Amino acid sequence: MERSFKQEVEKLRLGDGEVFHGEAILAVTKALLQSGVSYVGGYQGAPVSHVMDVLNDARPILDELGVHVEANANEAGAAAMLGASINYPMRGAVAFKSTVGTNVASDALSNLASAGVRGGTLLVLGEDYGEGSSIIQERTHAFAMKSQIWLLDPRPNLPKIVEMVERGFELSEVSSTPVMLELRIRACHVQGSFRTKRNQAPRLSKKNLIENPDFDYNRICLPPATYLQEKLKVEVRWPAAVSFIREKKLNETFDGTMRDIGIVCQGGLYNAVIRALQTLGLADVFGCSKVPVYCMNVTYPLVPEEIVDFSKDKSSVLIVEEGQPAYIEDAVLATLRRADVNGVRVRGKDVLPLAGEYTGEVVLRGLAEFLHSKTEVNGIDALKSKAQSLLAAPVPARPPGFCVGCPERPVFSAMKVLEKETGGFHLSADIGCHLFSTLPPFNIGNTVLGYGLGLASNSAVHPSMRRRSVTIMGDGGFWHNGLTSGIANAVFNRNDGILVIMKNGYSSATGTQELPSSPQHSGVKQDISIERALQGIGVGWIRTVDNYGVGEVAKTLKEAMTTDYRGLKVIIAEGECMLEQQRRLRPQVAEKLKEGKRHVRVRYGVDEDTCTGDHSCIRLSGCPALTIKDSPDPLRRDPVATVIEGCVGCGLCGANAHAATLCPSFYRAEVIQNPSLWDRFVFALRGFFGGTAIH
Amino acid sequence: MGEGETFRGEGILAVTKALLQSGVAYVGGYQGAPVSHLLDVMVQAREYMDELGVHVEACTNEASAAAMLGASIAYPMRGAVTWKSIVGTNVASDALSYLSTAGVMGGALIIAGEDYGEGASVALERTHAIALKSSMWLLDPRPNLPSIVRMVEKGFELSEATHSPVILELRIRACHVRGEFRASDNRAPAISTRRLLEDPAAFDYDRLSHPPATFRQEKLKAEVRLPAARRFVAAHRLNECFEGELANVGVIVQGGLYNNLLRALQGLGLASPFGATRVPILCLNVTYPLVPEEILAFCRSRSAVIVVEEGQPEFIEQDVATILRRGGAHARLHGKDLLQLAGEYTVEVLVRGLVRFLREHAPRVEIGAAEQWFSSVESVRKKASAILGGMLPPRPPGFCVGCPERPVFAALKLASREAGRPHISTDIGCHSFATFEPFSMGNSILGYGMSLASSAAVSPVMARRPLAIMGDGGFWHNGLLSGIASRLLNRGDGVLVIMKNGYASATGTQDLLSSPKNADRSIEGTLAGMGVGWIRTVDNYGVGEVAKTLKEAMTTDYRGLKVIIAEGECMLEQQRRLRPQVAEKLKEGKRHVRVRYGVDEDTCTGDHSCIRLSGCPALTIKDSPDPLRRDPVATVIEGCVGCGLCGENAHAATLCPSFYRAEVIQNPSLWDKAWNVLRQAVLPL
Repeated sequence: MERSFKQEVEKLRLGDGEVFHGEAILAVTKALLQSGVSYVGGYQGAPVSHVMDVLNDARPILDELGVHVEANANEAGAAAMLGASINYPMRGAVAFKSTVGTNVASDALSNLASAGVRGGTLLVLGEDYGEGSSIIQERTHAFAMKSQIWLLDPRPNLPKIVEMVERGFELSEVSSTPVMLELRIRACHVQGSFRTKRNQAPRLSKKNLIENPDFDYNRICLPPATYLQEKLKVEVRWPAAVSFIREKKLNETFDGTMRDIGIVCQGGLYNAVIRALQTLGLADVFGCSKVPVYCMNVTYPLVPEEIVDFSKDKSSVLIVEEGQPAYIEDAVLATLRRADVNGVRVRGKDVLPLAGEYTGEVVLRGLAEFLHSKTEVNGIDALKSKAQSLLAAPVPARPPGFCVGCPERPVFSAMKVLEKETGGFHLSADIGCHLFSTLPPFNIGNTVLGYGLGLASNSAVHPSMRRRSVTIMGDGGFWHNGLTSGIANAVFNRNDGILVIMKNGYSSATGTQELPSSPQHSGVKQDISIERALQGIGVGWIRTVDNYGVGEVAKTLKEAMTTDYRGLKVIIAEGECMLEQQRRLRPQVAEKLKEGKRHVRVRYGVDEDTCTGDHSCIRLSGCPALTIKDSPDPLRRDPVATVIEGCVGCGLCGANAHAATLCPSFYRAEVIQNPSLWDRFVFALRGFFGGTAIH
Repeated sequence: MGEGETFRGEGILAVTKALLQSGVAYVGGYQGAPVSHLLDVMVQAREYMDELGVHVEACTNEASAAAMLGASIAYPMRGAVTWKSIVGTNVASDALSYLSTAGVMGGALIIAGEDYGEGASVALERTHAIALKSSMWLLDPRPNLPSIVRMVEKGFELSEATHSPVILELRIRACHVRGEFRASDNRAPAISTRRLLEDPAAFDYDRLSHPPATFRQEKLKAEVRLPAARRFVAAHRLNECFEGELANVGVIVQGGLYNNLLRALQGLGLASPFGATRVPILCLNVTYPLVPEEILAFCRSRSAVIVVEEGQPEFIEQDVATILRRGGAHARLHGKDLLQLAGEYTVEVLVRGLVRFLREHAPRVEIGAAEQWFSSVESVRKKASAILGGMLPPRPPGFCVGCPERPVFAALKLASREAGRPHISTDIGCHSFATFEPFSMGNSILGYGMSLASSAAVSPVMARRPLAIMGDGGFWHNGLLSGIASRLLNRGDGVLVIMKNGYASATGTQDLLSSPKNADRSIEGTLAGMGVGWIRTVDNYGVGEVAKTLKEAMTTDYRGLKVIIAEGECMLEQQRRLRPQVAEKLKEGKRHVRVRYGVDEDTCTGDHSCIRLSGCPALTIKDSPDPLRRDPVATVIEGCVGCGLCGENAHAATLCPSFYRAEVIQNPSLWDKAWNVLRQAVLPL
């Protein structure tokens, strides 16, 4: 696990009236326990990975309460788990990244929402939209409407978020409908405090077992029950939700002196709106606004009466809704039209952009146009042009890349080496760290179609290609989806392609969470469940390679490209995530050093006299620790390659130089701490003969 | 079929032909009503497809199928995939998000069988929501073969002109409507299995759905692709406007509901059987995106307009409301206020809504025909119920005669008597019929392959160990990972029964990785490979043995996932395979033994326990031949395929010994005949 939450976990024990201080996503976790949740599940992914990670670290507290925690294999599994609340009055929550996770979960969610729930069910969704996002840009709102699941979008403020978690469960129960809590990146990471309540032990749990199962045909998502469920959705559950939201005042209206106009915003954007109003001089530092604001902490369903009340006496209203399509704006317009409120002018996507994140600047510009105030915006433009002139040129883009010593980098180095011989091949990429291969210096990867879907996305490519094509899939994607959608599909359809499975041992890109094939899961260093699952499914050509042996990897790839074997060829590229390996080894090494035991640390370096300065080694690696410096030779003007302090001694630079027959400038050094007598003797001997340790 | 010839047949087959006319390079999909036939036809026509160079793939699930369309991102190849919606679109939605974000170079068409309404077998939801979510254009042609074929062809062009995938939404009625169209020649694709690509596409970061390219792609969607789609739809007149003399009012209808609307207008006396209408109609063959100019042009001169849009929420109505308000058109807008919010828009529903609409906005229009129409509908109903003498009992679907899944539930009933009734997480597939009488087994369904996953939170809180049922179809579709891998990762306890009938049976017995023709052990191999430590395989028809194994799984001290593979080939498919073989044998005059079961009516106690443990349609009741007994006795009727379950049940549950097994020998051998003579001679003694 990337991060340990042992300290934060203690905050989960806070009782009545104490003060919790910290990150919002941890506040959500505490709120779940305050709500008497029986079970929690999910799948990791920013910005909600921490929910699962914290709960994993909090197992003792959860066991005391009787709360069951499950790390689901994917989001579909997590959503299906909520099925427990269809039959039994148990509260359950799951967390995942959206929209990708909601996509994967959507079939289970359709069934869950149709059947309806007895116990409150809450989906904590990390809305990864906008310019910090790592995925495709889409809105979770679409799923709320599609499946009729209520959507909470609390304003980013801890007491409000905690209240919405607690109310969310109640809303779910009074309307027999699952509820989604949508948290944007900023909402997840906002810091603040709230007054806590005691944790509630769930009524039904692994400590209070259920004796008899519940059978009710109307809770099964099959016809003819589904026809009844569809009617219940609109005739019973919907009105129940709307009246609960009104009664409990889940949405907030902030009055202001400028009664003639108003702003309707999604709760999650409230802070951005207030910041813009402050900049325009229309709100004070405490957030009191002169412009009335209707803050929708619930964005689905809307409450028509509240919208009409807010809008009817105004001349114009601005809707601040991030992303497209403009569901809320359409719904507000339809509501006003139905209520015959025709006097108010509704602005929205005509003054704000249709797509993209509503950052402070974007909201400010939109508000300025709505309010016909241009002055502050001109200030921003002036700042920007000043910055530009100071920098003189655009700052170079700094895309993410492989970590120092990453075991996936050598595989792409090997592909580069191979490409020289075989010519270019189509490569279907997948979600995971390995997708950084698409960035320089590799630029390898033609398409990406979702987590675990690399091989499936190759299925219409390979039959149309003269040369065999290659697919990359991580062990995370393999267990998430790829084994069925990709491998079973390829075996069944007799696909002749090549699949490289990057077995780094964890779901690394999300924070090195455990997989069925993780080293510590099976308790054996060389877990072979991937190999055995492949054999079981009927893959006839499987090779396992050690990633750092670039030459060997290239040879195996070449064999796969050229063999007469017809059928799927799988190469398992083995190499443990270097970050996780370092995390594991660092305390062990520290212990060893403390005990005064001998420890050898390997480092690599470049002999600056030998370096030709053509930097082929960098183009085959991209390791952040392999960079350039000025040549010490006054006769050579080009910089030479150099290995900087961050090097973890993976050896790729040397292996690359060897596999691609580059210049012999790399050397391997062993830094010996707490040397033995023999080490000292050898050292003395070497010093005597004046030699250096060159490998 | 070539240029100028006339194609006659079903809508879904016309789509298949239209794909070939459009020069499609590859086709894939996952089976499911109402579009199973598309893929079945393609798979059966593999030879011809090879000739054209079209690659056909039967995908393991809809996510694979959607990902397959990824080939059109980097290459100018046309591709089409098909599945049942909304379920299939759900499963595919992640790949679709990535596909639509990257955008396509070759036309990509998704043929979605919209399974909504009272014939639907899935949760009632709209594909429209996914089109909006991912900015994919949605075609909804009026159910008429030339329109459908044109929309397939134009769909590819639209996809290419806008770099967006296109969904062709076909409702059940559109798939099965019959008609004809003038065919054109099939086009061999320019890039195909016969004309291979020499080199891969050049690396292009902007075709990858990965930041920062995604930020630009999102802007492209809103600023380039959407306006381009509107321009294309308008320029090629994909939507149709039918003028009518009642110019003051108008109807905006989804293309797929056009036939129903016309039928309703006929009922009101406002349209002729040939489609001439007095009420103006704007027929949206493209329901996303709408073209604001078209909507405004249609509405501007009218005082009121009604949107006829099936299902909820009312996406189109809200979109139209925004367009009218932004465009300053003052026509009064109706829709879900006069028509029901949810459920299928049958003709009767439409007539009721239109009557309310016209009474308010065209009070002088004579719609007396409506009253007649209603009363005729009503009188037919009354007459029918008078003839029937009461409500008909509901007739839910059930297991076929001889179905190999029935005995497992019979065994489960027996095992539950001893071990207690467990919570059963059930799944999509034939086995979900166990939720009906006489079994009533299954507490929840969470989607295809999701049963084991859906018991993840039930399992730890149940005093008795719960059970999950999964078909081999669901296993390969999703269950292997969402269910089994997840349970192993969490070291959870539980019992999973995998119904291995050898096919995706409920969708039309399509082949699976583990189908019998591959004589395959891949389910067992994969489970063992992944680390399942407790696996048993049982023969379903041995009810006693199955019950024993179930009981063992429910009560063993073994902690961890326990999997029972319940083996028994789909009886329908087995019969289909055996029938021609038997016919051949009989023709050749070879001996053939047919097994049949029966009930000895003198022994039958008349308590019908045997029926409550089976529900086989061939095991039913008849009047007792004994004048002293008034209750009916059990009997086995002609449909019996001789699976032997009734006898097994009677044995396993120690019921009355009234079942007998008979062998019907056709083309008897001399030995058989001798036996028969001997029996006839001896038995009377």
